[in-house]
Formats: sequence, C-alpha cells, structure tokens
Amino acid sequence: MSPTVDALKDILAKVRSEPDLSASLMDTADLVEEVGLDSLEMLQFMLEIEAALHLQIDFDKLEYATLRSIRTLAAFLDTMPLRQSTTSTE
Amino acid sequence: MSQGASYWSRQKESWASLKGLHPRSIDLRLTALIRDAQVGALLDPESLESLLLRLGLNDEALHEFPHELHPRCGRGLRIWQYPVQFSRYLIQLSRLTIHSYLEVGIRHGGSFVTTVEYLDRFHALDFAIAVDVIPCPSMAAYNSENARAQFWCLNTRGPDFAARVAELDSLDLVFIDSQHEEEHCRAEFEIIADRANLMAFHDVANRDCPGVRQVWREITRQPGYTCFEYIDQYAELGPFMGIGLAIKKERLRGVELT
Repeated sequence: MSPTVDALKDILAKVRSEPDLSASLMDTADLVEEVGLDSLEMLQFMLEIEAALHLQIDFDKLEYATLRSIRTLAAFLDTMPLRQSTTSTE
Repeated sequence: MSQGASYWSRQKESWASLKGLHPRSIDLRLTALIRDAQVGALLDPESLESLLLRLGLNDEALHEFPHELHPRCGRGLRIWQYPVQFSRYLIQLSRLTIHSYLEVGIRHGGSFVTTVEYLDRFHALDFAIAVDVIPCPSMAAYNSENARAQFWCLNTRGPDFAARVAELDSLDLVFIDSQHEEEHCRAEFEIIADRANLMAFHDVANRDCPGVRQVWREITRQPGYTCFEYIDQYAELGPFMGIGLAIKKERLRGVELT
C-alpha cells in the first residue's frame, strides 16, 4: 500500500473533520464526486498536502482527471519536488 | 468540459501563478522605512513610489511586472501592487483621516502592513484586520509589533466572516483582494457595503480579472459613492492590477479630494 495514499486519506479525514473517513475510503475514491470536497476544502486539502508531505505542487501539471482517484493523485504527488522553505525573507 | 472540470481549470490557473500555496514570511524590519520617512516624502507620488520599491515587491505572477522592477521582486515586504498605482491610492487615503482598516485577501501581508503603517503616519488607526483563508506566517509577528493589527484566518463566504464584521463598532476602509471571481467579489461587497465608509478593490483594471472589473463597474454606477481609480500601467504590459476606491458620499462631507 502506498504511504502517500494513506497520508492523503488522513488529510482528507482532517479536512472534513471526520476521523473515521480515512478507514472507509477506497484507494480509488473520487475526490470530487465521492468525497465531495468543495472549493474551500479543496484549497485546505492542497495546503495540508504541501505541509504534511513537504511538497510543492506544480499546478500547471495537475489535471482534473488526477483528482478522480486518491491513488492517481498519490502517484502524481510522488513526482513532485520537495517544497522550498516558507520562512525566507530574501 | 464539465462544471467541475471548468471550475478546476480556473482554480488551477489561479494557484499556478503562485510559488506554492503557502505565503512567505516578509521582512517586517522594513516598516522602519515608513515610520522614519518624512511626511513630505509620503505625500509626494514619486518619492512614495520610490519608497515602495525599497520596501520590496512580490515575485508571483511575475509577468505582470516590467523587467526593470524584477530586481525589486521577491524580497522585503513582498507587496503585490504596482507602485505607480499604490502610491497614488495611499496619498488619496492620507487626506481622509482613516480610523480603521480591513483587508480581505492578504497573501504574504505586504500590502496590508504597508497600508497600516502608512495610514498610522497620518492618523493612528483604532484597529486593522487582515483576512485570508490561508494562514499567513507574518501576521503573528506583526501583531507582536502592532497590537492593533489582527489576523482572521477564515473564509469570507462562511457565516463567521459576516458575523465578525457585524460585531465591529465601525469600519472605515475595506480593501478587497481575495477570490477574483465575479460572484465571490460581489458577495464580499454585499457583506461589507452597509458597514464600510470606503471600499477599495484590487484588479479593477486587470485584463485577467473580468469578474472584479464587472463588480467595480456596477459600483461606480451606484449614486451613493464617489469613485476614484488608480490604474496607471507600465509600458507594453497589461492592463494589470488597478485599484478602485469607492467612498460613500456622506463620508466625504468637508473633505477636498483631487
């Protein structure tokens, strides 16, 4: 089982404030149709992904189809570079 | 394209212009440049424009900035404004004795901090409130320097925002620069309109923000407001950004503006 898939399920449970959600989600669950994330929850989901997985998501490459399955999104995220520090003041 | 895919496409375009969703910290030491500046320099458009450049600009959506400003981007307060517009807007505010300020959509916080520090030089604000749905790391640090400045991390479309605005004794100036969709911008205006004396909108000239442009056009046609625009552009770009300032006519009694 992919650790990224598990992490995404945990993040979804946190964003939806439903602790039991992660255990009930299939790896193939559709984030829009099945999980039902609205626009604000989607933003919070992406923020939590970047923070928890220390990633910087390249939104140019992230397609809507990628959100149709947790497993597909996890595979996409596994290709993303680590996030740069957010504390720089340059 | 389905509604979900269409929405996602717009959302993705917006996020893609950012260097990560998380705001960066800003260098609050630079507020000293505003606090120490001579009042004359704060009231002179060219001098203030020069000061804004020294404070530092944001480096996201860099294509909106002319090449000569790129060395000023990605540093300091990371102000996401055109200095040529923001300077004239601030100078107009200096004539209005602003007593409280709320900014919706602050990103790194640079425009918020700059506005608060600038207004404080002319009339001490009773309070200033920054609002964003994304946590902003610099706001806690700024609050420790300026206890009158608060940060509300919430969604303006949720019930908490309207409720908290309603609890405020009074609200003088509001600057709206959050989600740039027409429906969202109009909803924020409707929540604020009865409470605020002055409302400013960012991106009223931006070619990529038709929703904000439409809402601004509607406001300028309302009889209760006197409206000003700060939409100067840099050569061969845009039009980008642009600030619209709508002032309730009763708030303007006895004030001479140009």
